[in-house]
Amino acid sequence: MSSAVQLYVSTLLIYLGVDIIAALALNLQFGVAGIVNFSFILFQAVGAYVAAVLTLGPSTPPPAGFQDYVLGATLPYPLPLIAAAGAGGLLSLAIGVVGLRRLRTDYQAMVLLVFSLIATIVVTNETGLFNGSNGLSLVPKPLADVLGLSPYDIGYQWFFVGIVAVVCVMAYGVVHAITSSPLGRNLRAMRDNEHAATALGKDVTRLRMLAFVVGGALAAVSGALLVEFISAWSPGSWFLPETFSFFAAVIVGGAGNNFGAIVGALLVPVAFLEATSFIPTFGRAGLVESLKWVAVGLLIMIFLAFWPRGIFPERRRRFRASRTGAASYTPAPSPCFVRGTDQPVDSALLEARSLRREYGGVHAVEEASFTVPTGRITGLIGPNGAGKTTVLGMLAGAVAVSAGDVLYQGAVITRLAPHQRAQRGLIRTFQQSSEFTNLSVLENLVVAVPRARGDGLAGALLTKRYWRGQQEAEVDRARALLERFAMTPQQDELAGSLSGGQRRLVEIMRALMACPQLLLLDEPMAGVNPTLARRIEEHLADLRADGLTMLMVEHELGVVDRLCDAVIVMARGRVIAHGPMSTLRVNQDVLDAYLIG
Amino acid sequence: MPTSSGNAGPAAQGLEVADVVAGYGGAPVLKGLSLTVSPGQVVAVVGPNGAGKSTLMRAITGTVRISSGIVTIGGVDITKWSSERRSRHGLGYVPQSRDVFDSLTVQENLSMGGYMLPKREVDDRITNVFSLFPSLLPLRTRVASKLSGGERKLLGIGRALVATPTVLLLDEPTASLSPELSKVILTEHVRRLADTGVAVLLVEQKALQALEVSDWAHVLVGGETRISGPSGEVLARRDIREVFLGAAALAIEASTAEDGKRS
Amino acid sequence: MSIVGSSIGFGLITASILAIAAVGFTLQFGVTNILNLAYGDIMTAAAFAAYFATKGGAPLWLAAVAGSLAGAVLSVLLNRFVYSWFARRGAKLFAMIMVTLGASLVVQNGMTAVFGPDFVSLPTSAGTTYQVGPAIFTGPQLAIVALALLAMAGVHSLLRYTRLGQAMRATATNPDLARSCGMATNRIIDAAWLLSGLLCGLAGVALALNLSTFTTGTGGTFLIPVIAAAVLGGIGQPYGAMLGALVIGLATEVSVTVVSPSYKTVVAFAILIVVLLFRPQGILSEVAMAKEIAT
Repeated sequence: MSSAVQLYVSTLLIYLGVDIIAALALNLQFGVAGIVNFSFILFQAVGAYVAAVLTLGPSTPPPAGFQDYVLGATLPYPLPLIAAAGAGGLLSLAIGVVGLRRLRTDYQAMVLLVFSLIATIVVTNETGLFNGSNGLSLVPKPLADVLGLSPYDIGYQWFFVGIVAVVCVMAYGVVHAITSSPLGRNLRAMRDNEHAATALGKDVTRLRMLAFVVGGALAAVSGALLVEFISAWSPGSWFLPETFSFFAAVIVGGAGNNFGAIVGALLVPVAFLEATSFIPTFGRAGLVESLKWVAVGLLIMIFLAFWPRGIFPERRRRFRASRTGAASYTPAPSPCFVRGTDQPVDSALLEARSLRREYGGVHAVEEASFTVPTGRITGLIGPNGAGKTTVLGMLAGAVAVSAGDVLYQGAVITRLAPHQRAQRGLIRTFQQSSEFTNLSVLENLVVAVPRARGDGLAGALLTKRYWRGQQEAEVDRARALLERFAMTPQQDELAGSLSGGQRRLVEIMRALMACPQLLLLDEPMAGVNPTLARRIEEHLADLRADGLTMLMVEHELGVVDRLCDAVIVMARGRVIAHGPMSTLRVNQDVLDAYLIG
Repeated sequence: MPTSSGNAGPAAQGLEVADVVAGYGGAPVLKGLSLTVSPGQVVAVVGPNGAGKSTLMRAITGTVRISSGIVTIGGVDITKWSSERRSRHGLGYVPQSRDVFDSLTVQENLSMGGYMLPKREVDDRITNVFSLFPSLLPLRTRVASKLSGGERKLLGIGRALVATPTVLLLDEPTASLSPELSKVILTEHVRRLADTGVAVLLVEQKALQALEVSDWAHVLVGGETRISGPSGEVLARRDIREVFLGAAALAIEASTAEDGKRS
Repeated sequence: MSIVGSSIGFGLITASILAIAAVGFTLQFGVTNILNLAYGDIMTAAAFAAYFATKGGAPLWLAAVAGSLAGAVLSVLLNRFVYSWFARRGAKLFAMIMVTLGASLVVQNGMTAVFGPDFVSLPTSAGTTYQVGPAIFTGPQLAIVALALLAMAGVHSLLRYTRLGQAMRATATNPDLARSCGMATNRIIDAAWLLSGLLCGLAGVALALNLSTFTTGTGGTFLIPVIAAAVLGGIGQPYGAMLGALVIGLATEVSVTVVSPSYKTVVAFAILIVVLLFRPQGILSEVAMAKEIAT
C-alpha cells in the first residue's frame, strides 16, 4: 500500500473506532434506556477538552503564549483518557439530576438540547475556560515521544489505530456487559413501560441516571480519542448537528442493538460524513456539506417511516435450557411469595386509614378506611366512578394521598415511593395492559425478579459468570410459572404481539415473579374472553391456597362472589360497606349503589 | 309505506340497529344486537360493566367498526358513514366524559354544537336551549372547565341539542352525578326532551332510574340482549337484579321481602 | 438616553417578533400535539421568500406578504405530507420529535445548498428614527411592533369571534367531540397549520428585518426562545404565548444591562429549562396540564 492509501485507510479506521464508541454510548442511552439525549455531543466535547488540557501542560495565555485554559497539566498516558471519562460521567450526573425528571419525552429532549446550546455559548465566551472560540490546538499525540516515533509517521498512525481498537473493544465490552445483563433488561423494561417497571420495584430514576452517566463517560472517551488524533478542538468541532448524525446512526443501525449501532456508525458518520470529505467537492463551497446534512435528515425520516426498527432490529433474547449444577444459588420457591411468619392468617396485612384524594377540588376519594387480611382475597367493588382505581393507586404509591395513611405490615408507608413499596412485596397490576412490549414473554417474567444478581452496574460489569447461576434458576422458576399458566408455547414471543387475554396472564405471572406479599389486582379479567377469565379465576384461587394475600378491584360480581373472602364496597368516593359477602348480601345500601347510584 | 308491522313506520323515522356485530379486532364485543328507537321514545340500554354498552354507542356514532349488520337513521343506512357525516344526518351524541369543550365558554360550546348550521339558526336554537335549561343562561360567558358536574352535563346535552338531532345518544349521563341530580336530569330533562319528538337512546349502568324514565328497555349482558320489553315490565321482573348483582341480589330481595312481611 | 430604556425598547421589538412566532408555534402544538423543530427553519424560508421578492422589485410590504404566504404554504405541506403521515401510523412521541428534527435538517440544509451560506439582508430604509419615551426606534422596527399588535388583534378576533377560530380551539381541546359536532377536523387542522404558518412566515420576515443580515441558520437559532415563550405561556394558549413572548423578550434584552450581551439568549434558555422542570403546563394553562397527564 502506498503511504497515501495507508494514511487514508488508517484515518478512516480511527474515525470509525471513535464513532463506534459514540454510537454505542448513544445506543445505551437512547436505544436501550429510551433517553432522547439531544445534548449528546456535549459529552464528547467535554471529554475532548479535558483530555486536551491534561496533555497540553500549563496554560499559556497571551501575550506570551496563544491559548488560555483551565486545569493545564501533562499527565502520562492514558490518564488523560481516564480523566476524560470521569469528566463525562460527572457532567452527565450534573445534567441528569436536573434534566432527567419525569417529563414528556419531547420536553426532556428540549431540556437536554438547551443544555448543549448553553454549553456552546459558555465555552465560546469564557475564553479562559478552553480558549474560547479559537479552541485548543497543538495537543501532543499520546506516547509519540515515548515510542520515539514522529507523530506524522505512518507507523505512528497505525499505532494510534491500535489504541483506538483497544479502547473500542473495551467500550463494546462495557456496553455489551450492561445490555446483556439483568441491568440491561431492567433498562429496556423501563424504556417500554416506565410505570410498570416502577410497580415491579425498579428505581427508574436510578436506572435512567445510570445509563445516562455510563453513556456520557463513553461519549467523553470518544471525544478524548478524537482530540488526541486531530490535535485540536474548538466549539466548531461539536456543532449541534453532530448529535443528530449519531441519532441517525443508531436509528439506521437498529436502536437497542449494539451490532446495529456499530453498523450505523460505519454507515452514517463514517461513510456519510467523514469518507465523503475525501471525495472532490463540486458546486459552490459548502454545497456538499449541506447536502450531506439534508441526507442525514432524510435518512432519519425514511428509516422511521419504513424501517423504524433499523437494519438490525433489537434482538429477541432467548434463554437456553438450564444447565444442571451451574447454580450455586437456591431459587425462591415457585411461585415465590412469602407470608411473613409474623403475619398470622386474617391479621391485617394492609390498612387504609381515612384515605382522601382530590383533583383540583373534585373528590375522587373522600374517605376510604379498611383493612386487608393476610392470606385472603379481598374484593373492592363499586359502580363506575366510585374511586376504586384511585384507592389502588394510593395503596401502590402511584397516586399521592391528599390525606390519610397507608399501613403495611404495621408500618406507615404513606410517604414511600411506588418502587420502594414494591420492593417490600406490595405489587400491583394495571387495568390497561402494561407488558414490556419489546421483551419476550419469558423476559417479561424474569425482569420482575427483585434484587437480581447483575441488576447493578458492578454486577453487570462482572459479566455472565457473576449472574448466570441465579438467572438460570430464575428462568426455571419463570418456566414453571409459564407451565402452570399454560403459556409455555408463547415464552419466546414478544409480549407486544400477544392477544389481550394472554397479556393479562403475563402481567399476573410477572407480578408473581416479583415475590409479592400482597398483590393488588386492578380488574384482572377486564377484556378477557370468558374461558380465559375462568382460568384466571382458578389461578387466583390456587394462589390463595398457596397463601398469597390479594386485594382485587373487580366489576364482575359473580367472580367476586365466588372468589373473595371479604368485600369492600365503594360508591362516590366512600367506603359504604365492608365485610364478608354474607353480611353484604343483606345490605340495602349496596343494592342502591349499584342500581341507583 | 308498505310495511307489515305497525312498529316499523315510526322506527324508520328514528334509529334502527339491526343484527350489529362489532368489536376491536379479536372476539366481537357486540354479538348481533338489534334495537329500535322511535321519535318521542326514550329507550334505555342497561347492563353491568363490560356488557358492551359503550361499544354499542361507538358503533352507532361510527368510532368502532361494524363487521356485520346495519344502522339506519330515518330509514337511511348510515353503517358505512364517517362520524362527521352521521352527525350531519341528525345523530346527536353526548359522551360519558369529556362531553364539553373545556377551554370554550358555555355560549361557545353551544355554538359549536350548531357548527353545521347557518349562523342565524344557531342563535335561535341556542335561545331554545337556554329556555330548556334556564340554569345555563347566567353562566353563558363562563369557561366550561369551571362548571359544576351537573352544569357540565346539562351543557353537554344542550350542546348536542343545538344541532336539533332526530336521534340523541346519551352515554351514562348520570355517571358522575349525585342521585338527586341524576333524578332531575333524567326525569325532568331527558323525558321532556323526548316529548319534543327526539328519539333518545339512554345508556345507563344505574338501572332503576333509567328504567323509570324510559319507555322501552334492553338489558345487555355479554354483548347480547338478555331481557327486553316495556320498561315497566322489565322493572317488575325478578331476574333484573340477578343480572346486576349476581346471586347476591337474590338474597337481598329475600331479606327485603321479609322486612315487608314484618311491617 | 438610559441603557435600561433602550434595552426595554429592544426588548419590545424582540418580544413583538417572539409573540408572532410563539402564537403560531403554540397553535400548531396545541392543535396537533407535535413539537415542530422545523418551525424556525420555515421562518428562515419565509425570510428568503421575502428577500427574493424584494430582489424582484417588490416593495417591502409586498415582500412581507410573500414571506407570510410562503410560511403558510410550507407549513401546510409539511404537515399534510410528512407529519400527519407519521401521526396516522401512530408514531410515538420520541419518533415524532425525531421526524421534526429530520425535517428541520432537510429544510435548513436544503436552503443552504440552494441559497448558499452567505448572509443576505432585506433592504430597509434606515435613516429616520423615532423617539418613543426613553427608546429610539427605526421605521422598520416600529413597523414590526405595529405588525405584531395587528397580528395579535387579528388572532384574538379570529379565535374568539369567528366560527373557524372557535372550531380550532374546540378541536385542540377535544377532537373526538369536535368530530361528533360535525366538524371536519382534518380541514380545521389544515386551517390551523395555515394560520400558524402565516404567523411563522410573518415572524421570519420581521426577524430578518430586525437583524441587519440573516442566513439559512437564523430561524433555527431563534427557535429556542420561541419555544420558551410558547411553553412559558402554556402550550396551546395563544394569550399565554403573547405574555410569554413579552417576558422572554424583555428579560433577554434587559439582561444585557447586567450580563454580557453574549449571554442574553442564555437567559431565554434558562427560563425554558426552569419552566419545563417546574411548571410544564405554563403560567396560564389548565388544559395543557390535562394533556400532559394524558400522554
